[in-house]
Amino acid sequence: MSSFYDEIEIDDMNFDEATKTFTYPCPCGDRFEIYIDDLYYALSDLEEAGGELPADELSNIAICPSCSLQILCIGELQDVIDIYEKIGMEIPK
Amino acid sequence: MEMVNLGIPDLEDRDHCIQTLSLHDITNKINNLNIPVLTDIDNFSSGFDIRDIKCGGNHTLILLENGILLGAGDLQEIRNDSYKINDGWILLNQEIYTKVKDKYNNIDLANYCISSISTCWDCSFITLISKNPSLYSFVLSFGNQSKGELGRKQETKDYTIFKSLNIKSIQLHSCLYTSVMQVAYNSGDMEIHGWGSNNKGQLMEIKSKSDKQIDTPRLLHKFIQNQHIKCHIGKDFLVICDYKNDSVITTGNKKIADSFDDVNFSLQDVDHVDTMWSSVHYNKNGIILGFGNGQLGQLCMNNKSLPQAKFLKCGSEHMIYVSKEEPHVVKSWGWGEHGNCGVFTGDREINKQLVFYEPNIIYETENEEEIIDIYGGCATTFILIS
Repeated sequence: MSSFYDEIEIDDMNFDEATKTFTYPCPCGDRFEIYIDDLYYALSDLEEAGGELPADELSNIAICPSCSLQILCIGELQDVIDIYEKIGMEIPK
Repeated sequence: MEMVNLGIPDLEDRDHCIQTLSLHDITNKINNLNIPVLTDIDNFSSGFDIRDIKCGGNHTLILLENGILLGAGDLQEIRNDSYKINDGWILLNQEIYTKVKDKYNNIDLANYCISSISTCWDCSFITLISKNPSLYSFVLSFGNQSKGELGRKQETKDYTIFKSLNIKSIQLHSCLYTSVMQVAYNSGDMEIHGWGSNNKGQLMEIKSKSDKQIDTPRLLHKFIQNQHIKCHIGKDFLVICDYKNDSVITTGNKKIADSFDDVNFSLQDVDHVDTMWSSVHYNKNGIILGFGNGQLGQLCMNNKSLPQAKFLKCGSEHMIYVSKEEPHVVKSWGWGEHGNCGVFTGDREINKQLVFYEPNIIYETENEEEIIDIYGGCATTFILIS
């Protein structure tokens, strides 16, 4: 059984330009969060690994600051690159 | 997490019940303020009893039988602190009426009553219904959106997302970013309209990427001479129960739809149906049958015999239950990390998410108290006590 509350497509998350953070509602009333660079690195690692990594090596994880639940952010690296381009932010090296 | 959405300012999570609102106090205050209470419409009770409670991500609405609407938390466009009832709760009718009058100069609001409410994550919906068939009934939306859930453009000051004549009733149902409304016409027909996120095809089949978001209410189903329909909505699925034809339509989340299709299920003798964010639960002959996410104990009472339920309601990921056998005891199970399932007495090192796998007593009435109803929100539980 997955330890994640849910797997959420990046398209279904909200991107906050002010904080450069992807968010998604948590059933506790707060929001799961992951910073754009963290998601970029996580999906880069996943892509380099051929799209599969052991669960304990995944880092494309958004965390709720108010509870223990976590979600797995799923999607293509290109989805994140598109956001960098849209907001005019430099893609990390 | 501050509890402003519970109408309790500046408090952290609680695993013991705390009073948030006294309707007795409200009655006195509203009467003293000379606020028009709409009581003269057919079939509407004049009482100050609670008709419904709906919880968004960070706000709560309470609708009374007489059409009085109260709110707490992040109420966005309908917040006006001039109408504060107490530290936590605000009367919303006046601000809503002001906005309606700004749009419809000639509307006589004495002919209308707020009859149904629902909440998405960050917005609220109300129906203003008229019992005069020659007058329009309205559905209005207020708040913020990110997935088209307002049913209108954010910047417009016309809050109307639906209006029609000859309406008998409108029921609203929302979860997270998706809403549906059941429109019952005086003709005997019923329509179901939906809007907001359609990311899993919960509202309609996804034929192109643009179908994943429905920006304005769209007719999804029409039932001719059949109003025995009940909709239940989760964060990515929709359940439509047709009691006349004993059929259930489940759309969206494939896991839920497929698991339901695998069982031979009849709506006959079903007492309660309700949805958490990620599961649907049917209560039939003292047995609860749930479909969907059970990772946080949501389905732990599946197929176990329980005393027949008097009340059975879902929060975001927990169940709240009162049996007919013990109508003075409120129990809960599922995800209780914020105290919403009551006091956790297990080992927190082993069960860090505070999942309750057995019904846990949240509250027992004292003296002459009576449990009138129960409601669930985002890791929150409401118990109405007389």
